[in-house]
Amino acid sequence: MLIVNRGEIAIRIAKTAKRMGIKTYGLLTAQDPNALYLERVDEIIDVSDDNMGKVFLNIERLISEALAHNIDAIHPGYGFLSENPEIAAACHKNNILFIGPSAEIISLMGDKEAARHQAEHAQVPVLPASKTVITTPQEAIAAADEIGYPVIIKAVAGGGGKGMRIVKAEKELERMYRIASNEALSAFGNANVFIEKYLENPRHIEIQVLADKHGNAISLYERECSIQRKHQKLFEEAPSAFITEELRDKLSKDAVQLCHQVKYDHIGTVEFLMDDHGQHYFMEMNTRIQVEHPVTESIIGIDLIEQQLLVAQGYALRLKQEDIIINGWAMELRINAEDVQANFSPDFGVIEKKEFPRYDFLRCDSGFEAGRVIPDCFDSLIAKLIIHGRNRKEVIEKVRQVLAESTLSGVKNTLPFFKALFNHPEFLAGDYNTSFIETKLNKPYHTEPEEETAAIAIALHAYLNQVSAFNEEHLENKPISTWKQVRQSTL
Amino acid sequence: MTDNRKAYKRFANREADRLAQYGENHINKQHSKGKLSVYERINGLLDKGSFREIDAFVKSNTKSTAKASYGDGVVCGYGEINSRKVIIYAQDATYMGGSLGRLHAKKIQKAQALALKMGHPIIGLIDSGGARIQEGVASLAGYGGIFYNNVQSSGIIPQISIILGPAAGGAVYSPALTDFIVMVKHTSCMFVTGPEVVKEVLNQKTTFEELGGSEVHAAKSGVADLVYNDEEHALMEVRRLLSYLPANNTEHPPLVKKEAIAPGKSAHLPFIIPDDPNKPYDVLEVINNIIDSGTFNEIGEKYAPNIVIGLGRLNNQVIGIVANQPKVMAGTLDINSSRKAARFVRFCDNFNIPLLVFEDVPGFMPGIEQEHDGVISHGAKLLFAFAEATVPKITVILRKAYGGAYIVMNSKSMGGDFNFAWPTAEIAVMGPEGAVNILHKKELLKAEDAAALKAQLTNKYREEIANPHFAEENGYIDEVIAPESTRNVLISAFALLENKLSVKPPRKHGNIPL
Amino acid sequence: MTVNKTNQFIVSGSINSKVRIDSPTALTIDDTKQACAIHTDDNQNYLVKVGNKTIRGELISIKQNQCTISINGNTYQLSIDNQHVVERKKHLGIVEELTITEIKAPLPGKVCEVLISEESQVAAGDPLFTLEAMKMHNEICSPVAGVVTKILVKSDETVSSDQILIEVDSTDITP
Repeated sequence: MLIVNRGEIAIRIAKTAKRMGIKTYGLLTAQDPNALYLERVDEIIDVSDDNMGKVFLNIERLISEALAHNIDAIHPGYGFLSENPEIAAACHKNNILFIGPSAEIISLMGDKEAARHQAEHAQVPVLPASKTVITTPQEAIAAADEIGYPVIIKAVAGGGGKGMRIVKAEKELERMYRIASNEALSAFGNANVFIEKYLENPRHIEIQVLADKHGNAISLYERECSIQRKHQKLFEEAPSAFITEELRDKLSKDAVQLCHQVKYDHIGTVEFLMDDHGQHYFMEMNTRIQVEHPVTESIIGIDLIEQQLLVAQGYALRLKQEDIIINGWAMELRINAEDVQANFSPDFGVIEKKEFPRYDFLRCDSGFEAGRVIPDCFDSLIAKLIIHGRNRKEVIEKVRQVLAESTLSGVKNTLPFFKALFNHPEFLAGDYNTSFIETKLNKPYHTEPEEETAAIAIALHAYLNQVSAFNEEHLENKPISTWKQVRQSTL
Repeated sequence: MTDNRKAYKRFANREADRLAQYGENHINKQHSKGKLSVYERINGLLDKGSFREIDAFVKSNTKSTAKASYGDGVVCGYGEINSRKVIIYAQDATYMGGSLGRLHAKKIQKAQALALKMGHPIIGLIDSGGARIQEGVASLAGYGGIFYNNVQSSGIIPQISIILGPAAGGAVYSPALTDFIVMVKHTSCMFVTGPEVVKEVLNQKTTFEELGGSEVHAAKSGVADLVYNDEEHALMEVRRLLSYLPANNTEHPPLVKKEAIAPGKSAHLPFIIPDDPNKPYDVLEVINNIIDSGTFNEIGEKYAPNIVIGLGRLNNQVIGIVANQPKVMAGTLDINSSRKAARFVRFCDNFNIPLLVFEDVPGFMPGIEQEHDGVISHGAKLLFAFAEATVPKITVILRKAYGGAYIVMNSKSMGGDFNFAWPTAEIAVMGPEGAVNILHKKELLKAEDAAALKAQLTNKYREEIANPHFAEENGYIDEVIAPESTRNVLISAFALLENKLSVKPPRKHGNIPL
Repeated sequence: MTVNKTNQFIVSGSINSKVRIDSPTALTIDDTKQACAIHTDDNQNYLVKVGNKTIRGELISIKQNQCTISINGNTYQLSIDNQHVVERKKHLGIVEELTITEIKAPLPGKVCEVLISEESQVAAGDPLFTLEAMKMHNEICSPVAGVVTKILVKSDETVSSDQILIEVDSTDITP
């Protein structure tokens, strides 16, 4: 199996594949030639002659390498081509098993507009939105007027927060439309957007589903993903502190219904937005493994990559809905290479120290170790810390402990952000929605009270040291060799 | 116990009178302008208690409107900095605006003559309004004498000018002739013609700061080599600067009596240079990870930032560093950077300071402006300076080394003693893209997918030609070295070169393009 | 030989405080006395005992009187001035706030769209241009109100980190 991805997910996939006796292949790229994942796959395919930095998106090249090496299956991971129907189609054409749903389903659910329609057909609640895809500013204005502000512009082919802009008032619409569609064009190759009603400060709750090629579909319950910054998730927990048993069943039922509606046959995630009254709306469906899959694995006790590989090969699901039981609570912290004090701007470079404590309740999925370089052309994820406990309170305590004992230096990272998060009363009470970071977290990083004093003390010490060095330098004359002295005097 | 005998009483009273000139009045006047008093400056610069004043009682007896004072507005003398002798003079801005008259000038000239005779550095603390109008041509002649001494001493003893107030008109030429000009933010300024005259003659409205403040001279004209936030720091840093310089040109720079601290992160070095040859990085990171920890003293930081110059220590030995800065203008050489580096190279050559060059230069900056302003002459300055220098010279090529710029940056054929290269070095007549355009012009025109063909050929060129091994195999590079080992290689190379001596046929001086 | 040997300093930057060094183990920060003992082996890695707590910190760099310090993953940029210098500067009546704000590229990338023109009036927070970097389109907004005086880049131009892109003049804007 060729893994057309990198970083922690490549390592993750390789791990399960190894366990299942599948031989793994990884790609050596020009941008990340010394990556850790290359040491975790069985064989390496060298594509470092591709300098464009887009080899993970180069379908032609990937297929040709797969054929050259007699690859049976291609796993796309997340991001890159994982939701691109063309690679699924290309694999199918070349008799390579694509670890994902069929090109048709990817296309269908990848088109946010079309996915909405399917949800509507499946009796799953949806938000009011533009009836057709928007391709011009005029259409955008008209649709927004009809739906009523505030609205959100979304890339039809998008995900991960790209190609998305919220518009609160009419005068902003045209400009935001242009920005969103430009971003969509450059990130996904498709400038089309649609416009949806924007829920103020909703919660983002998603349901992990698992379906096979035999018509079976089950729900592995929810993940709470409302801690986001600019629509990018920073933290996830499962189960959700907001959801009741009743809501859980409702959401699960809707998610599974959607699967049946579109004849879904793979692993996937159905994303919902929920308002304060517990009303939920279908947002989109991701037809791939997600970054935050470990929290579900943690509470449900199932290897999702394994399940993914099994259903892709055509095996029927052995698990029934009754078998899915929630055990305890889990949280995932995404540690990114970002400077929290500078508006989360990305940082790159060499990791000097990476020390996370070892506990059996802590799982660390990372694509890096000390001494490795974080390249500047891929995403900024350094590591995922997944902590499990019997209940939410216990997990919080354990997270605090892990944070206090973790060291990561050499690149700026988001550990200070999590320290701030895990000191915030509303977050700790489970009372938060997607507006949390912007509105509730005044300072996105944590400082101990004594830190300032320590900083001042160190600064003064260093400064006075320097001053005294200038004033008391002990110098001695450098002797000149006789060779030079003698010869110099005869010149 | 005071001695009441006439001679001794007269001696004591005179001293008291003189000191009163520098008392509260003087100190407050200076402080109110944000400046330090003369003796505060001297005490801040020299080792405690080491100052001995000369010509303290020189007194003008011409017909001037102000009551004549002892000293004529300047304090001259000698003292020690870190136990090494220096000669200094410090102007008193509260006496006739610190202006230079006949006796004032004579005192300074005497200090200069002393410095030259004894072979010790001379430091001028400038705080002056320029020539004393009342004394007419005597003031101008005074300046002339000072400038003449500056030139006679140039290259024999280090001369440093610390501008601590205004330096106007004639007062700026002495600093201009010295080795380093230090300025202080907000309180110092230098210009040949002041704002009032500029307004009168050209009708240009301007201020002291705008015309000749520290920022202007640091970044635009390059006249100021070092700028500091306040006087205390300026004085401290001059002490530090002197610890890198020999007392005169027959000596070598002093060693420090403690263990050299190696930088901790040499394993970091291979990762500083990005894999993509078009991405910039900060060469200071490279420098600081090779030379002794905390010893890099950058000079001329804000002027022509596309080249970095400064003094540092490698295993406690002082070296002069010249490095292209890829994060500014891609590290290209241009008029300003050539000038900045050339003067520094010649300074190091004068004072037995070995040179270390870090090279990553894609070429000279192209353009009409550069050509019309004479990049030909100015670029040649740096060439001349390197070739002329007889101190040990070592170059380490980090990445790009193309064309004329490669030759200029102390290449082997120009007299470099050792030339090393990192594995990432690209040494060629021109960069891959340009070369491919010329060499394969016909094929590219005919090709279906020109962009892809170009990318392919560029890669090929990069692999076959633009790498250091061709040069290595032909002896133009002495050795390709692993980045982590650079420090040790350099220490051992410089140690070998200590005995270097160059014999040259006598001549008055070369004709460096100016 | 320090001029005007003093134990009073003004710290500015990430933290703004008046500090007096009472003894090697006590500081008075903004009139509050703090017991504070400092230990270092290599002048880079520090252990500071503040009260009962021991804090680990690292000196990243020091130049003249500016230090960069890292504690617990947080970075502090501090400038140290001695009391005397600060008072002298007061006499000069220096206004440190520049009225010309240089808007720099926060990271390397490509300018997608320049949204204003020279002489445009902007309010604080108004977007000036979009920059594509790390696969994201970032909107760069003006931190101050003023008039755009210089636009130093155009669309599709690649820029490097800290490169000055636009200048906004707030001189005639009353705060």
